[in-house]
Amino acid sequence: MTTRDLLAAEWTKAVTLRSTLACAALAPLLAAALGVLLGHEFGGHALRSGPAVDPLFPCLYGLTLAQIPLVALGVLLTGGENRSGTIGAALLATPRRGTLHTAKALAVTAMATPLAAATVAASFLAARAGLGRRAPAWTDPAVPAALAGAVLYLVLICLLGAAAGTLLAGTAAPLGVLLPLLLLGSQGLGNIPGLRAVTQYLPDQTAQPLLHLAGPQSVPNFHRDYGPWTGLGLTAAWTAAALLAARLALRRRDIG
Amino acid sequence: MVIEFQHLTKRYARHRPAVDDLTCTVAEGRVTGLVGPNGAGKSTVLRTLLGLHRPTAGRALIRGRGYAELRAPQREVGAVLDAGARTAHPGRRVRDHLRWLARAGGLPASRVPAVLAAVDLDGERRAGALSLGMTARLALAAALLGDPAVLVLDEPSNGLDPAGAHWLRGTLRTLAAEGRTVLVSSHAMGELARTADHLLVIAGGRLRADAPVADLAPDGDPETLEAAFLRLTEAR
Repeated sequence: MTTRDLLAAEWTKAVTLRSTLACAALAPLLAAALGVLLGHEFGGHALRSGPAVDPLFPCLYGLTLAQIPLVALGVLLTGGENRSGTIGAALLATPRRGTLHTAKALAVTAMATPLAAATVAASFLAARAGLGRRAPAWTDPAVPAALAGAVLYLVLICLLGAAAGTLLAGTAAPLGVLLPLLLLGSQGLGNIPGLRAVTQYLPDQTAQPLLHLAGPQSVPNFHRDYGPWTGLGLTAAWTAAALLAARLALRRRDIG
Repeated sequence: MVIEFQHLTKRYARHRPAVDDLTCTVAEGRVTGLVGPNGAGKSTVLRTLLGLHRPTAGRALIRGRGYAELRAPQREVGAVLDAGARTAHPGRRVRDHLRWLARAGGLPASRVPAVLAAVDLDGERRAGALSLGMTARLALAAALLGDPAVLVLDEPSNGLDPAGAHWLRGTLRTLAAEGRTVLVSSHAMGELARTADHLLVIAGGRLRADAPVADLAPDGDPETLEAAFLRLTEAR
């Protein structure tokens, strides 16, 4: 019963369910589709008349929706076991709960990393094709930082879903909390001026400067109180806190 | 003794104890029945033994150690959680459920077809498409994966039809005859009368009897045993 055995078991669980496979496939597909739309939109009329727009914005904006299947994947990989009763079997095989929790976090990270890379690549390449001559230059030093940041962000948000699934011991409750947070936080609440001082610290908002989704930081209306990498650090802090809470909850809980 | 309960007490928030100061042992090479009416505390006893519930006081030990301290739990203990509560994801194939369990325990992949054959189950079916009887067989297959010397089974006959119940009785007798320790719970005394060698009777979370079946029903008549059970478990 080594860490390697536990990772192999988690991998087997993930690839033998249609629900988790579908979520995994949906993220890069959605990113590519949105990338095509955004690339054409911004490559065409939008930039011709209006002010100069950060070319990385249309390249990564699709991730605000494409992150949803990754969050759902994280929730399914952990909370799905509470729903199906599989958690009982998992704990009989691995009764040390801290060990099980660590193995799950490692497994989710290992699965989310290539998936996040594929999703970011799909978004970037699809949008880039549509942007034409307005596409960000390969030599622009902002590009690798934004892409690497986007991959890290998607891994963190998938782990946040996994932590919520464990913490709330199910699938409906964590999705009910996270989806409105990630959708309303960006699209709704984040645009209300009075609330921005607070909502800018929501886990998805903190990553937006690094992903070039927060708007020009020199403009007061768009300004965030943290820099790009500090922002990603804040997202990581959210995920770390959620994982810690999940670990403590799992250690104390009576199962079944 | 293979399994020991030492002053085991479990109290859920603001309720009276589900298990109250239980002290008894379970020996190897025989089938021990844990019997009591619904709500007697049987599942709580077994879930605490398996480390799924944390005792309020006292201990439940397997060969002197708590379940979470076992080095290779699946090789030492096979467990069936209340068969009504499925533990296989309904969307996963039976074979895949056993495959991940084998991996988690570091068990050879060859154990999967071996246990499927032992319980006579089709590995290609999805767990959600199984009848109650087949679900019970899958639960037992998972318990047998590590070829354990100790089996802890919570109501494994729930939902079995007469043929399935007959099959389960024979399987449990065989496992005990191989020298294994079999602890099996049931609310149906008649069911255990034909399976168990020894009975632990609990009611209201307390031990009411710890005796061989032959002592509780010297004439071997299930009616006598049932009368003894009702007398032992009536409210005090």
